[in-house]
Amino acid sequence: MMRRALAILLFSLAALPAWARNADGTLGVLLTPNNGRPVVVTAGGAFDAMLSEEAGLRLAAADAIYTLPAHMEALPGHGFIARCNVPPETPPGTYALEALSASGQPDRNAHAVTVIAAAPDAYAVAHIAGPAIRDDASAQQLATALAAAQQKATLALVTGPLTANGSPEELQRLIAVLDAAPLPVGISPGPPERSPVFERYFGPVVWSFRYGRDGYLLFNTSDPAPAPDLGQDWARYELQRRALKPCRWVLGATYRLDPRQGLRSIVTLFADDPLDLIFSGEGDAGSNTGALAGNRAVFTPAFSAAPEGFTLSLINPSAIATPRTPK
Amino acid sequence: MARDDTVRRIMLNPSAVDPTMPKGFPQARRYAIFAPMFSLFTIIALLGAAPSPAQVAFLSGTCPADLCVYVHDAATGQNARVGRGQADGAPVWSPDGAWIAFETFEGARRVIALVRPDGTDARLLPCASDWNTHPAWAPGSNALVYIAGALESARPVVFDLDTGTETSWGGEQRGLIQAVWAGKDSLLAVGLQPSKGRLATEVFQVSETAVVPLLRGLVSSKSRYAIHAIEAKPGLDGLCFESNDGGDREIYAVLSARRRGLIDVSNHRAADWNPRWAPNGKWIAFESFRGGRRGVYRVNVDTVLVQPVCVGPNFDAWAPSWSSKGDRLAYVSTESGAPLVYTSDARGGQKSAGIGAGALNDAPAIRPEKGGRK
Repeated sequence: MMRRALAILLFSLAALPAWARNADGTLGVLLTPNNGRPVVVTAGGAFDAMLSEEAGLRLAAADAIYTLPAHMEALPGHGFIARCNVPPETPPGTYALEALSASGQPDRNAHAVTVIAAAPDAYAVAHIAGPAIRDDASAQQLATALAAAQQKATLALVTGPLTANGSPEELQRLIAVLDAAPLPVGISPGPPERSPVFERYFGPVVWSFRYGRDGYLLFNTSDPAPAPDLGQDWARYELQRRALKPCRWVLGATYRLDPRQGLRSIVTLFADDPLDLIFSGEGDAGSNTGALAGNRAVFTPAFSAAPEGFTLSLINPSAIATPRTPK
Repeated sequence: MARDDTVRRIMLNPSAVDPTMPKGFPQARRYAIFAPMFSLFTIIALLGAAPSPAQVAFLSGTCPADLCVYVHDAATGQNARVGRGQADGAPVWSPDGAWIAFETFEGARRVIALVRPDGTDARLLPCASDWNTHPAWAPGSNALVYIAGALESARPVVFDLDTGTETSWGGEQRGLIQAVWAGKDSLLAVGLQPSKGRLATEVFQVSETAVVPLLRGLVSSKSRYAIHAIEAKPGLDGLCFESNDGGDREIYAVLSARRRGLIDVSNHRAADWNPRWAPNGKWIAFESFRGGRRGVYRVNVDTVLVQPVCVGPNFDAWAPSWSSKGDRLAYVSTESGAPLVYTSDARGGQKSAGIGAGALNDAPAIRPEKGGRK
């Protein structure tokens, strides 16, 4: 398997094909990480990539390419998971993840991997809620807000509704904004882009990643309650929450908190392993009560109503300082 | 919580208790005696192999929003769409197998629906509340209990199918978020408890007019744990539930007939949840993450020996459901890459082909058979 992956990798370096997602913006060979399902890793660290086909992998910046030694395992039915090792000499920065599959299919997920020099003790995270991209103007608003956030924060979380209607055109505009974002961005879907639309463009509706010593759990409350109690989401939460247990802080982000979201979800997220802080959009009027069960949350006003377009929280070793939010 | 020393000893050294080996027999002699018997048992077991269940109700759809109740017929291999496709909830067979109850959306309202297994006679119950969940049949198939309202406002409501009337149970108590029948005139319910800074629930016995805490004498510290997924023991002489007592989620059983108190029957550092009591009361099927992924296991409540039913290193299995005779289990597994419903014998053998009608398949329930416990 390793030898085959190496062969693909060498081929990819020689071929230099045209890289891209699929023409309609949906994910191709590379599933995760991507520009809404980011990986933040130190040089010399490792991360997992999910692929629809076996492929050689590399990190690409504007002026450099770093090949990724990867151990690839087949998943049941279809797909592969690749354990990628980031070369120690990789300089800090934001990279595209590029792949060339065994069938010769090239793919590129821009803005998928951020390499940091060291885990920061303290940093700021910006939360943007409900950008609801409809047209070029609203996409530009989100780009402006992310640029402004980058002046104060090193990480951004954007919760749904990400688009107005979940149309392919709106999602392609969102992808373009995320591709050009000046900082790593984790996103969580809202009703317009709920599963399976979200899965086609960004992969799993449940995603966790580490930022330095902290863990972030992006979860999904966009599907109609209480349906999320069924299926695989909550097992993924349990597994990912467990994987994040060693983290200094574990923070969550979602479209809204709803007391009707189902007992399994409430038990898993808020009772067994309470999150240290939850970033939530305001959601439906009056729906943000009850489900918290003592968990601490930041309710960010909808994008259009927020003065700066985002709220800022300061993450320190001893505390998480959050902004005042409307009650 | 109270611990049973015998149970703990067995858990620490499972090989110490092997019910197939009588004490005092030298090893070689034991095998000499039991080898022919084993062969005979094997032949008998093969002759009496549990057949595939005739019908399995399950949910299927392309996404959570269009999940719909289907009934799979083993004889024809066909899946019949019998639900509404409005984010339908898990199907629940009436004990006589004549009806299926499930949650569904009617506009923005979450209501309870009934339908015959062949898709006829579909109806929505005239629920007074706009949010109704967790239907559970009364033992005689003539009434349903479900939860009206969410979290703090939740209360059990009993719908009498003969009179077509709803009755709120539990007096003025609210925050009863799940209920199952514990007899003709009694419910077991999980209720919210006031607790500083975190979700806490407790088990209650509920009648039409009163609510009584059930485990106060058995748990060491009340109002601190989040109990969920309560099940009454067949025969109604016990109950089981999951709780985060001890730090992670475990399955607990209360066996009142044997006066053994409260037992952690699944003890493991990984989460165990969603217990389903077998009709004979001897086994509990449940989901566990002890193998690294979510798998279906069963535990013998007498010996607390845990056996895997459907477990794999790179796929998930969940939603176990017993046949009414207790000889087969239905569950969902992603072993083929997609979530499909499977049935197998209680040990995980004689597995059926995957059953599915869409990209998502979930919440299987085997139709009760004549002769099975109801």
